Amino acid sequence: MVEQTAAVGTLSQQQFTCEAASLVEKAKALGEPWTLVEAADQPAYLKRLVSVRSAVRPATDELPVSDGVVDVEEEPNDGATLHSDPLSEITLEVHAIYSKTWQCPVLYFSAWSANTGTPVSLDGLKNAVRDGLPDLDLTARTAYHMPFIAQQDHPVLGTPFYSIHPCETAMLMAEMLSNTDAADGRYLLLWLSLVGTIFHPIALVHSSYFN
Amino acid sequence: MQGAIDETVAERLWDGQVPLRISVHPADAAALGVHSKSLSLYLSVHRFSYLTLIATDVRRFFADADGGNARLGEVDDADIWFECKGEPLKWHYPVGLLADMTTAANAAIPIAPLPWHVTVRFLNFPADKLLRGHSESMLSMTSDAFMSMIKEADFMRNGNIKKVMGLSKQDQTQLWESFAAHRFRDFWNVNAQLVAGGSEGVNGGGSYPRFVPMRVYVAGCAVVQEPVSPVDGESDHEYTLGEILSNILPRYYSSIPGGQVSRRSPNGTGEVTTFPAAVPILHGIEVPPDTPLVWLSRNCSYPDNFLHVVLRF
Amino acid sequence: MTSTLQAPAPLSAASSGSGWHGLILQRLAHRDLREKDAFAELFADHAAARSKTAALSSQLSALRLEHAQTLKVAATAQEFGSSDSARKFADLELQMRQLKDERAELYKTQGQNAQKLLKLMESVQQSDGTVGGLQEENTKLKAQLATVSVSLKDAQELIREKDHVIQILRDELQTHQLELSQREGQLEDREKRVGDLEKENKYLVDRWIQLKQEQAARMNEANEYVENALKNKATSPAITRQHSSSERIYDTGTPSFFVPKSLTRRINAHDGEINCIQMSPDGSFVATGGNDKRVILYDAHTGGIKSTLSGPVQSIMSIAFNNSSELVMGTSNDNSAKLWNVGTGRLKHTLTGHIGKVFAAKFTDAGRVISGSHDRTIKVWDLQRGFCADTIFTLSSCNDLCLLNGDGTLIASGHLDNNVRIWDTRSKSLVKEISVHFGQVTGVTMHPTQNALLTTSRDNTLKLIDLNTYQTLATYSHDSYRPGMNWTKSTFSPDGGHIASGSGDGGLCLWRTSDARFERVMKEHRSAVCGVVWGLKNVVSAEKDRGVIWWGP
Repeated sequence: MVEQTAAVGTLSQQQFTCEAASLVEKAKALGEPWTLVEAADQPAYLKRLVSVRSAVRPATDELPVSDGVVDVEEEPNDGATLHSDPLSEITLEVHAIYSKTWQCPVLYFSAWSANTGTPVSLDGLKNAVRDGLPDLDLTARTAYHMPFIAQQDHPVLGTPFYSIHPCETAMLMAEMLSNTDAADGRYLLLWLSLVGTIFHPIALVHSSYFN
Repeated sequence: MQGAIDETVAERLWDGQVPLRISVHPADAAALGVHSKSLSLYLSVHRFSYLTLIATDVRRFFADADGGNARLGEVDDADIWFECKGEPLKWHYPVGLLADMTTAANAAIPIAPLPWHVTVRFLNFPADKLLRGHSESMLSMTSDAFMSMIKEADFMRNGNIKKVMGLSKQDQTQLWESFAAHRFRDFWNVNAQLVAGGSEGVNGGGSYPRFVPMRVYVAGCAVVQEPVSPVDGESDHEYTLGEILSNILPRYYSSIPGGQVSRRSPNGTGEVTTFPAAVPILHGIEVPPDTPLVWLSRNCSYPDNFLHVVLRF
Repeated sequence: MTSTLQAPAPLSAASSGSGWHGLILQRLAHRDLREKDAFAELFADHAAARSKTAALSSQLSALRLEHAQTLKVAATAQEFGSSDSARKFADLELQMRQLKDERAELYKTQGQNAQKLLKLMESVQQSDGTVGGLQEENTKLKAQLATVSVSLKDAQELIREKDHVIQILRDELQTHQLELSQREGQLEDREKRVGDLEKENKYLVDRWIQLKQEQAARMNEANEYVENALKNKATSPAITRQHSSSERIYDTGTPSFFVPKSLTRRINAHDGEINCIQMSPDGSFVATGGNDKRVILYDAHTGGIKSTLSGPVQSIMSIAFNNSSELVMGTSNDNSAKLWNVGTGRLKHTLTGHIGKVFAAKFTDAGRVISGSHDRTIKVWDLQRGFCADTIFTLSSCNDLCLLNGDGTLIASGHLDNNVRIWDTRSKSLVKEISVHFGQVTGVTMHPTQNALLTTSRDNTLKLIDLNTYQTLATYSHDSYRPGMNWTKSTFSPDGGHIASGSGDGGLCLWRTSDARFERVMKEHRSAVCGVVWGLKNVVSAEKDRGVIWWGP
């Protein structure tokens, strides 16, 4: 009755669960905070928190991501002078949730002030980082004339999250998989590195995951 | 199974209305200096409509009734929100769905008292609970959400969005505009092209959709949206709503009339308890469980092409 | 599309005989009854009631306003109708009496006012007189304003000219710097050559001494031989008187000239503006030159035009005669000077070599011409050989020059940079730079009998400078005296006792040389006077706007 047709560029729920588990394992080895959120009667999803400190000083070229903290601010030696405004410390929460409808993972994210917990708008998130997040484009539309990024209710939590519309995912992934050697079992990683570009210069996964 | 529309049902659903009593929240009334606190707006709202479509009128009513309250007159439409019994109401859900959810949540009273009392809020938008609109673009936000649902439904039915994208630009625009203007025939002239028939190549005649666009709402749980096929591929048996619900939500629903379901109690003790089976509510009525899903989807979907079924206990 | 909209709906096989479709319709009808129909009329009535209430409440507030007004009116009415109105009447009568008294008082005041009015009329008449006075004064002030405006215009003109001069001076400075660096290079070369020459010289001198010694030995032999032969001869030395060629015609005889007072003749001969005027040394010719590129020769006594000399392709800027009055020379903006034979009117020479306007040139006794130009050089021309013999770099554009002695070995030049310079033309060296003026020096003239130089400047003064001490002996100025051109020339009377110079407003000014007393200004010219000449029998001046005037005593 619930039928799963394996079209090109799609992922089955089983594969998702399997690849998500191996990703979390790898992340643990690399010391990166990807977790699998599981609850009774609810589909499991991948989750990661990224602490974005607003930039006051010029950014270093290499962004340290291994500790899960994207610190765009140079470490101030004389802490008294420029410790970033506590209000401007923002937590970016990223979820990868499997959609049975689209038969692919969907990226959900939200941002809030680390201190007050108040939601931060996309513009607020962009402005918090020096030079912004240039690829986080609210005006972009998909090939099906859908807002590329739009607020949606989180399928599990029911609260507002931004999400990337999945209508193009299968198409893009099909192309990506056909162009990648040894793509087996790496759908999720490839997909994360694809959709994760919207947070550039913040990276959700990096090359070590592929080893 | 031909893709014809049951116009009697469609038109009746189209004209369904919910009586609303809207009043200003006391906290906002105090903060904005609204004098006539006890004043209520009585409004019969189409079940298919959205709260964002009445927000401006509601604000104007209270601003005028209050002898031209300037501060109320300046409130941004994106800051207006509604709540019922302290719960924010999602503006991107049809009003009828909201009414059904409210009724279902109140298990003690099987028939909700009418008119439905809703509080309008002008301050403290709960951005952690409601999708936040942009200033002056609430209408386009609502239309975006509406079209997004239609496209998702198209994808579920056909495995692609070709039907919607295949509509002429004018038809795509007409879909939303005739809906917003509540013009039944204009809307259905376009909508029939989407809901009638099924995907090509499936089941020979192409009469069945791949999956049925349906969402099931259970109080306190995440929205259930499963890829539901309306027909048994082997026996050509058309599934009924009851069969589908007992299949995807066996813990809440049983297709046996008056049957019971058993599930672990939510308090986490692991105890298995039995409960009376839930009743599926759609458009304010209890849907007979033997209604074929494919018929239901074609004729009883909301204008956003989804069946929004609420389970009442 | 519409074809798919059919009513009643064809139901699927599953629905035939089953109640679900009927149930749905039935439940929907029931729902509408409960949710829609039950409230349709109620809500409509409510809305109607609401609008009625709104209308009524606005009516009510209007009525309330009316009521309040009515109350006020009623209160007033009540007051008048009250029992104590009698007392009020009494009050009113009392008030009336008081008002009558006041009226009588007012009549009295009115009479007084009429008297005051008469007085005021008188004072108005007096004021009218004052107004007349003020108007007169106003007229005077307007006239003054007009005068001042004219001066302002002149001043603005002057400023524009000065700006131009500043630009020229800047150019000069730049040229000098360039020249200086070139010269420094040349100097180095020369020093090297001098070294070489000195060596050669030494060698030659040594050879020469050797030869001399040999010669001396032979001479001694010869002398001894000749001495005896000479002993018988007597000698008679001859004395030759050195002839000074600097004698001037003015120096001869007693001064029988006159001081000009009135116009005797006016001639307009040129087709363009006149720039210069000159009189021949023998006093028989007057020549003028101008923008029509011609020199016109007049009979000095009759004013008749003797000949018209043409040739230059630009304006004539100065004229000079040679001592014998046989040659006349015109210098031109075409960078050349041309010499004509006075008798025949034929062109004799063209001196080309300057690369700027030639503003002045003079004949020397020694058959030479010395010319000054805006190319910042003074050139010495040899008329026999017909080419430029020497070039003196003067650092600034030369407006005028004059000879300090007859052979022209010493000359004075007046420059655009406000300076007067004295040159030794043999050594080409600057003898003295005299900075006494604050405006361009437009003319330099030698005193006929004393060793003193008269300078004319656009700082509106003339100065007499002692050429032995270079001290300023006298300064000549007057409110009405403002030279109108950069080439305005002044003149002495034949005995040097008076100075005449023309002003930009057309006035011809006269001063006494000895004590710089201003004697008079004669206004006959209608435009700026460019020069004046003063011979024994004639005084002639020329103006920009083509007029040449002969003056009489």
